[in-house]
Amino acid sequence: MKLFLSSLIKFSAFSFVGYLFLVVFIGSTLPSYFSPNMRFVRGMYGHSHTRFKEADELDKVNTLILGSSHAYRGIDTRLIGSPDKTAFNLGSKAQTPIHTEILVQRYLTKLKPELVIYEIYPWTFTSDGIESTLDLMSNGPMDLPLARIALKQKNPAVFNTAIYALYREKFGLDKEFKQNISENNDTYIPGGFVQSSIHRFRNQAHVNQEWDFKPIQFQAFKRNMNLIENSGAKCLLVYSPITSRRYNSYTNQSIFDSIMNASGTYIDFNPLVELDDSLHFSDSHHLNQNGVEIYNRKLVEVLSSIDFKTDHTRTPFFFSQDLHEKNT
Amino acid sequence: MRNIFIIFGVSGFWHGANWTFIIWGLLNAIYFLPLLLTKRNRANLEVVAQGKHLPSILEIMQMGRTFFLAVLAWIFFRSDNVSMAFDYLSRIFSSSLFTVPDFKDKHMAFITILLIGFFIAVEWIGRENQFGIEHILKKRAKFIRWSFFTFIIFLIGICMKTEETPFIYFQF
Repeated sequence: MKLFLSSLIKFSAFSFVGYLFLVVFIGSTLPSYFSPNMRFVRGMYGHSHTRFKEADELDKVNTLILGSSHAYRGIDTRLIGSPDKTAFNLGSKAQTPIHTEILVQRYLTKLKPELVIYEIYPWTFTSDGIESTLDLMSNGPMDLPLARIALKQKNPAVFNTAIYALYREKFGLDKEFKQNISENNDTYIPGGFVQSSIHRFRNQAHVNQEWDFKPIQFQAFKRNMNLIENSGAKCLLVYSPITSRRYNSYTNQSIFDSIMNASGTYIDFNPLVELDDSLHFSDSHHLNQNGVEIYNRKLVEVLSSIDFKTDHTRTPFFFSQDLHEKNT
Repeated sequence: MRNIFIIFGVSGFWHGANWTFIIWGLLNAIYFLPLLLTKRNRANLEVVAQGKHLPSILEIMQMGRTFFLAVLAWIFFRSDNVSMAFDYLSRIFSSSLFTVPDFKDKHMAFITILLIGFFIAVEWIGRENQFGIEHILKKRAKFIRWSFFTFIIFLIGICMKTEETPFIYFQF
């Protein structure tokens, strides 16, 4: 028994080191298709790398935008901000609340915004967040909060990517890396916005469906709201427009709306902005630049007239009970 | 013969109250019949190509035939209902059988074939033992043996299927 335990411990240590070596070796030498569960792509879609670098060099902004691709592709900082009222879009690929929390911890105190526009697409509350974790690992620093998420997600692709990202960071292999401003059909606009070349969407029918929310995302969302509130910034929760067919296909949208309304100043722009599903969208849930301009004009109009809810005007909510009661 | 059908039929039914399982069991009974009728049902108990490095052509064909029949029966085992199984079979045995497979992800197909080849090789080398890797590289230095085991763990970690929320944001 003693010999068995001794061998087991020795082999575990050996295989751990060997595994790290193999991940680094395969990641450095072979094309990515040889390692399907190692998804390190520096400078991938969404320009997160360029955005985080720009954010690192900023001192202060007036308006900070958070959220998924609906934020960085839907809220144009050239339209929202002005020379004396700067805006920065910190949206990132499939950013879920647990990842927003990491970015808020990294940048909120540094950028000291007076207003936070927090784009909350319901899908991000249903996601396990693997895609966003991989994006943050590939394009930003591997800090402790990100490592904690990686451990919680218990996903081999996340573990392997974390190992490889850490290796590249520690050896400074991407110090000189600079992502092209224009890639495929996307152009990165300083300020964090990504402008796509205009193409239209051939509308499609959607069968009725339900959002399958994950409590862990709402818990992170609540922490994010507390962090923003404690920083002294005002916060506007926005649901950017998606195609009406897709929007109307969700049968439990009202649950989400009521939770958001109870959490802060929330505006669902879907019923507020008149958009055409084909002319103003590039796919079923992303606006094209024509749609962005119409949406952003409305957003500016709302921002100039809105009364933000203060702490005492909000309805307190407890996510798990709230969702449970409304589901049953 | 009656008992064989009863045993395999009950084995199928034991997996679930569905005709698919019963057909799976009965197919296995049918596969067994030629051996029973020719009284050779105890003739194939030894390890294939024992003591040899490679199988003969006949042995390769025998293994291929067994694999093919087992997989054919599993179509019934895996299907939700009998008509789905027949639909699946009709698609397999259509003209598509004589066309070059059109892999959506050619790289993935290549990796999958490599992995299948590797694990078949491991199983073949270790076929005389209870577990495929039980005695592989046993005479080699511990460092080499442990490196091999670590490589297998790595292959699993780097290629295993992972459970994730579908990437509706792909490319976004």
